[in-house]
Amino acid sequence: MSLLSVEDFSVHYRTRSGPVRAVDGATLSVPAGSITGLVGESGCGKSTLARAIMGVLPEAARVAGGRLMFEGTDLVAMPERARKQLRWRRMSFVPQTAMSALDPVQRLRGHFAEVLCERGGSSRTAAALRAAELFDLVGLSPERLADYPHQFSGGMRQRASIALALALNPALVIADEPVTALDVIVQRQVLDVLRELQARLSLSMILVTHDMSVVAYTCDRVAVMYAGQVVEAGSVRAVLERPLHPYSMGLTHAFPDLAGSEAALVPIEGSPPSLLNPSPGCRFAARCPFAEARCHERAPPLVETDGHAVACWRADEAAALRVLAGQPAVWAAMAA
Amino acid sequence: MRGVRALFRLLRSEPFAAVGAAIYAVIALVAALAPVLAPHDPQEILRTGRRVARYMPVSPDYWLGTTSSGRDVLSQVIFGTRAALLVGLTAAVAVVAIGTVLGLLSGYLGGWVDRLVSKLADVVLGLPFLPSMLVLAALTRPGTTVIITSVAVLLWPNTARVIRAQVLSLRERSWVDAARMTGCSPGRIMFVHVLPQVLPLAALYGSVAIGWAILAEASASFLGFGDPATVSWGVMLQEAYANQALSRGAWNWFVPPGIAIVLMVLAGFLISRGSEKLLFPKLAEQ
Repeated sequence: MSLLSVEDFSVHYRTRSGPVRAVDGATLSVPAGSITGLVGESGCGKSTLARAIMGVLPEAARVAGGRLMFEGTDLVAMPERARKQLRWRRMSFVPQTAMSALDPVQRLRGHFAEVLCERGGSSRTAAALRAAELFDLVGLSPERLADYPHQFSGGMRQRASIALALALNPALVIADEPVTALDVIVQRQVLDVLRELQARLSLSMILVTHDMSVVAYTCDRVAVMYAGQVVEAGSVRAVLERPLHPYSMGLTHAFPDLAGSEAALVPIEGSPPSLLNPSPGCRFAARCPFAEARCHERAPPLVETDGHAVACWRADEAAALRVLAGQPAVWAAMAA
Repeated sequence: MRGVRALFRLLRSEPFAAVGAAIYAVIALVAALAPVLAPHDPQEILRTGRRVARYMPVSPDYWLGTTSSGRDVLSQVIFGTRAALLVGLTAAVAVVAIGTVLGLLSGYLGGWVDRLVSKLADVVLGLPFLPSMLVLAALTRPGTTVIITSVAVLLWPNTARVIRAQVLSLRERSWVDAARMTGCSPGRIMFVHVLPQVLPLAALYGSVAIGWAILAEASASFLGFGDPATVSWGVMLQEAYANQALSRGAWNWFVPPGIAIVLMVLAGFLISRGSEKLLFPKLAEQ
């Protein structure tokens, strides 16, 4: 059974021009003891989904439907009081901007004391020991607990944020773009920390990113989001090697190959559709080189076969489409 | 120790603040040692032989002369520091406390709390300071408490507005968001995470409020709304005025308390100038 399952879940933002469907009927399952990547381009709703799972949405946003089943209970139906009990104890968050996500006037020690004593109910001395242990776990020297956040480098702050997230042994850790603001060497180090901790503590984690190489390096499973919906989900190996959705095919070609092949990068032309009044058809149809008439009329359902789910009318032709998707001319034609 | 050394380094680099701090230090010292420093009891009616020593000029016996009722001016100025500090500090603390808490609530919680506090601040800012204080003093029993209360009631909006503006910017920072994620209550976020970052601003407004409070006390006392039983610079000026000290040429009576008031208010201003440079280093670069 999965630890968290997102079922037909929607979040809308109130705006002057009407509701923006940031997350619109997303379906996703996060198995226990593995890292699930959530990928998509900017504005596809991946961060909104991550925040909705934590239950900390901006004021303008509201849950518009669906369920979030976490450890057997529906988070959406849960009163805010009970929700707050779960926060950080059962699920924690590694923020995108660890550079600025630590209170600048508190020593790191203070951050741990707050989480461990206020939220975890441990004593001051127990908290100090646990903080040292956590710092050790993420590869930071426990003496640095006496320092202020500005005395840390970006990578160190991100490690500290990870340590904070693990403080109360949560069942689920959600990391929102944990390495986006870091240079690639430090990215690698932080991702290694995440991988190692996952293996050692058999963590369950959702890793939100726009970077396919981060997914390939870190994750066990991956869900591809496009315009507020999950369009493809499955094991990393299956999705990266045999993508079934044209968008995933495009994404795999739009990033440099990890093996370093010299093939030209193929951009996906155009930009995501407005989520104010989405078309009734497939959201990707307007940018899809393989779109047919039915794609524009009706949205394809997310269908799962052998643990690999896809929402595409032409999924059964995927093998042939993959060959075509490898040709830059096919995508370039969409620009015209 | 590190803090003390840093403070000294700071004062050296900010001569304005150093002078202001020095004035405060001297006044605080004088207030603490008043019974030792003052040659006489400030309320004692002095006599030469059998006669009351009225309007004595400056002399070795009475360094600043005496008042119309034969009291030693120097001793009164020295004991006046106590009243000044009491009024100044209490009122400043009250102004800063009310202003900071209301500014914090208003800026962080927003909604109806913000609207209520902002409207209230607008109304109070519309009241003219001195007349409102005199009305408050006239409605109740004149005395130090009324003066402190009215300074607190009339001056908090300035602090509250600045703190609110600062909190509006701070509440959008990602570490506030992160604190919310960890399950911090709004109260904890406000008072543990946001408050320490607005304290420097609050202190700045506090140092200005000290000056205002002392001026207010002096004005109210001068106009006869002070407590005649206390020894304060304002009460001294009022007595000097009532006894035509100016036309008698008794400079030694009313100039010293006047200078003392000016020094105290100036010190608050100098300190706020100095801390402004400290808080907003970009201003100094321009």
